[in-house]
Amino acid sequence: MAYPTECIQTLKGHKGPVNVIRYNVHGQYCVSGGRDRSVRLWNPKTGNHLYSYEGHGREVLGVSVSRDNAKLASCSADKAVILWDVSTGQLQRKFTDHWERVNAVDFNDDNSLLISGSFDSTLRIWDLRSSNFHAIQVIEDAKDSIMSLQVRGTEIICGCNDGKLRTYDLRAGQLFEDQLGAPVTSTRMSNDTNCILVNTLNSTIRLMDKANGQQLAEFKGHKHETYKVDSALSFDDAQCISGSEDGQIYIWNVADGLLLKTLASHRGVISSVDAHPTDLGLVSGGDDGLVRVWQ
Amino acid sequence: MDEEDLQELTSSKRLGLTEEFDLPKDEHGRFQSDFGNDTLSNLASGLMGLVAPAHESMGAKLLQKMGWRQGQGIGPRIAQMDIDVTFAPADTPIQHFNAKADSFGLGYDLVENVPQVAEMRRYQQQKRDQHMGKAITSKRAGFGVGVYEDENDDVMPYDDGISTRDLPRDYHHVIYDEDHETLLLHRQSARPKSTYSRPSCVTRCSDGHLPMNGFHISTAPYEHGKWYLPPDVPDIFDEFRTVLFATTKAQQPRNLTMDARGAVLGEQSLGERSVFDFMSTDSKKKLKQAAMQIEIDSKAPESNPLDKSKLRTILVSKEVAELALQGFIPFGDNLEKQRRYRKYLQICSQQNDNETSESQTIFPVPAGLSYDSGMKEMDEFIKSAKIFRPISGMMSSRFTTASNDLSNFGQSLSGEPSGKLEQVVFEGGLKSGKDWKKERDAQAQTQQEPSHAVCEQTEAATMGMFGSLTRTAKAFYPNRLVCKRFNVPNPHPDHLQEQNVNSRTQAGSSSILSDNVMGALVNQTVPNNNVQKDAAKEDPMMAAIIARPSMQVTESPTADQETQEDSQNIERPSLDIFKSIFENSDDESVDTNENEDSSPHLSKQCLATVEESDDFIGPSPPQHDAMTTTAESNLTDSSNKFAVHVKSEEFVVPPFQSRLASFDYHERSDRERTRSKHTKRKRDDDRKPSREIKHSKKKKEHKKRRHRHDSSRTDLLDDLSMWVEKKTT
Repeated sequence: MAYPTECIQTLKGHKGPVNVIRYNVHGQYCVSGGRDRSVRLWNPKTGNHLYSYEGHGREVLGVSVSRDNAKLASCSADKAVILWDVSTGQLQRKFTDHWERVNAVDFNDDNSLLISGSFDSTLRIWDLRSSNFHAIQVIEDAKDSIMSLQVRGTEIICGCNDGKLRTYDLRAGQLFEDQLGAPVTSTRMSNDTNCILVNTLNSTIRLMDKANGQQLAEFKGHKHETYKVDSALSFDDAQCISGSEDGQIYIWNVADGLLLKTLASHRGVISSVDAHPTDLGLVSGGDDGLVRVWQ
Repeated sequence: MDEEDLQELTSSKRLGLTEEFDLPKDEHGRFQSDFGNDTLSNLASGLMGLVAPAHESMGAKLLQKMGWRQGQGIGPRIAQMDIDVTFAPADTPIQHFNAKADSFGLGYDLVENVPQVAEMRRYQQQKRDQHMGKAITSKRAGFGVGVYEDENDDVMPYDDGISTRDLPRDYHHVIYDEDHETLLLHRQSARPKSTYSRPSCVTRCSDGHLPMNGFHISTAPYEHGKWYLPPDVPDIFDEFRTVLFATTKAQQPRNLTMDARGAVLGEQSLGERSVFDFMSTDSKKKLKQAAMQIEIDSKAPESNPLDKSKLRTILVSKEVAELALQGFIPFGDNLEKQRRYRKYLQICSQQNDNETSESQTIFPVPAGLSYDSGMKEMDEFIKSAKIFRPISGMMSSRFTTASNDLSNFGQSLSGEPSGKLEQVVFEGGLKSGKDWKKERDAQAQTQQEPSHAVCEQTEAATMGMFGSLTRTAKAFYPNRLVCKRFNVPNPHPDHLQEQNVNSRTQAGSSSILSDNVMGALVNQTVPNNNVQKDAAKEDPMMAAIIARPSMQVTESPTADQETQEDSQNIERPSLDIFKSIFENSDDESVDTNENEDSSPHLSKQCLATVEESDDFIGPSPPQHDAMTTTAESNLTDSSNKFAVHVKSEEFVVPPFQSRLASFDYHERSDRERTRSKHTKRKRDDDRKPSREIKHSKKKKEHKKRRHRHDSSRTDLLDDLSMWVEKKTT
């Protein structure tokens, strides 16, 4: 039962809290977005800061890397979703349809669509293949701010502040809403796509079964009552990793729900964590502006 | 003699090009001038050839600028086969062509074949040279050779040495010829007369003139040719034309038609033709109908005086009649009239569709009424039928009848004193609080079931019993393009997407209280379930009429959609938006308005504007899908327990409760806090209090605004009712 224990790199560069940190599809790079309105590309192994994408007007709230590593999407409090070209650093598209700050963004597997969720309780789907500047579909099922979003295969999961975890199955044309009782801040699908890990604002992390909405596991112990905190499942779905408001990274064992380790990593809130997709590894970003890579 | 004269004198000068523009020096040698191969030009060119000119000709300058050099030719550079270097083309000599002025054969050289010619030419040249030489030398020597020079004593000082003989004959040295005492200006006089001499006795022409030069009068007679005499003109011939015989034949053709003319001419007739052949059958039918109608109309007034015992009116359409039957039946003060009205409506509602709308049915003149008043009554019936329709629940709930009109309601179909129907005499006003409370409680009970579902959900969630209790399934309609991008076949291919994807969707629509929407609301007829059932019980005739839930005549463009949704939600209790809006703030317990049923998105619109106009940055209430299986709307009881998350739900619903600063401040602030949690990250702590304060102010303003709006609606109905009043009296 291996889990990351050691901080191998500390990536400095952000001038302000780091809001989101994400690995790319293979884990070679990680992208972070912060309060300083920049989206930064890092090599977590070497600790190099590769690029800084400037273009947002307000703090960056969400990032996502396309599956082919060519494009990067970021969303911000300036109501915009920006599509960047990774290699040239050029701003390719800017979608400004949202009425309020955009909290989360993700690519679909084909990299032909961007889906973004916002404070205005809408999910907007943007077409990247055409030059349409407007969303091709607006999903308005949510009744409150959409805090997190993930697209996998033909499914979209989003967590909303109204306490519901919504799963949109495109193949079946169905929407499943799971009432969780407390605002949902983070939603992650497990790597086997059967379960969804949700973070709720009552300091609870739940592992829900996607098919029937039942709870499979519950993780407690961390502090999550005020700020948005991410959680993730390790690549083998064996551990659940989460940030916390007390500056420690919590790692639980999924099988029995016990807390394995707490890693003191940041001063302040650890706003975002991401697990390496293929290997043992972890990257965390916190309010102190640092991004730490763990192994 | 001035310079000009001198120049003329020395006419040996010839016209040529200045050096600047002339050919280069080497060209002169090759140039066979027209002026002759005289020694001087040769000499000049030869001399010039020795000395390079100070100025280059313009042509040379231009060429040099373009890369040419002296001696090169003009044209594309020549590339040799073996060498890589290109050469300029060779210069070509100027071809000078002598125009052939003789008539010898081509290639015939006179000098060659007739040797004497050469000699003669030489001799002539010599002579010319002598004179020219003298002239030039004297010229060159200067004008006015002095008497001191002994060169040639014969030379006169003003003589250029050339005898007048050699000069052009036209040149005069003197103007006045003293010898002949005539002016020598005319050249003609200088010219000797032609040598042609006429014979002294010459025959003159018939008019006395001498014949022209070279002609003489012939002696032989001239044959003119045959001369024909003009015709004999009769004596009566007059230049003026008069018509002697007036022919009737000329007039006949004017009266002929085309066919007749054709017949006269002997043509074949075209046959019977009609303009109707060129019309389509549809237009022919229309014409026929119109013609018939005109006949009928023209006959009708004639028949009227004949038959004043019958009333002829048109029937209103079936749907209108059915609606009117459900609606308010006026003429409460005249029971007979009311009865007749109802009968009329029944007849109208029973009419078949086969009958054309133009058909007029005949009614007997009512007893005690004249024909005119009977017709008037029929008109009133028609108008009343169009006006009085059952109005939707939310409108009806606004009004209650006045007490003195209770008797009327015995006649009405619903029969309930609290009245779901519009009233004519606007005395009742708004309902009293108690009445309305009772009603609402009654309704609330019917709505308890859906609300329970939501409470259960949240309860289950808190208890941790996730699964079927907490899960709801809804239909999700991905866009066609979205499905395409996901490589997924459209799961709902029949679902029609709304087009306004880009614009603010209805949830955020600010046009909720626009004319369309309001029109739809007003005209909508969504009778209460209770009403319908009672009505069916009471009146067997009503049961026979199948009430359509959503009959209205709105001009709303989304009318179809609304009707669809309405028809789907007909089982649900009606949503009283206005009720909820104007709900008394004292009443906290019941929160009946989560049901997005009868007018789901309309209600959402209404609420949305409420949301929007409040300037609160919050999610606008979204449009609920009509296919909701569970109504997860009501969170009334749970509101107190689950402060945090539910507040967002409540927000969607009746804004009143949660918004009042005085009552629900603590609850509101919870929600505020969740919202502002994310703003806290910006560490702007001063934002929070100011926001909340702003809200409480806004709420009060909004409250006022809404009241005002409501009054405007009642005014409209006032007008209607007033109008009706006038008519009946």
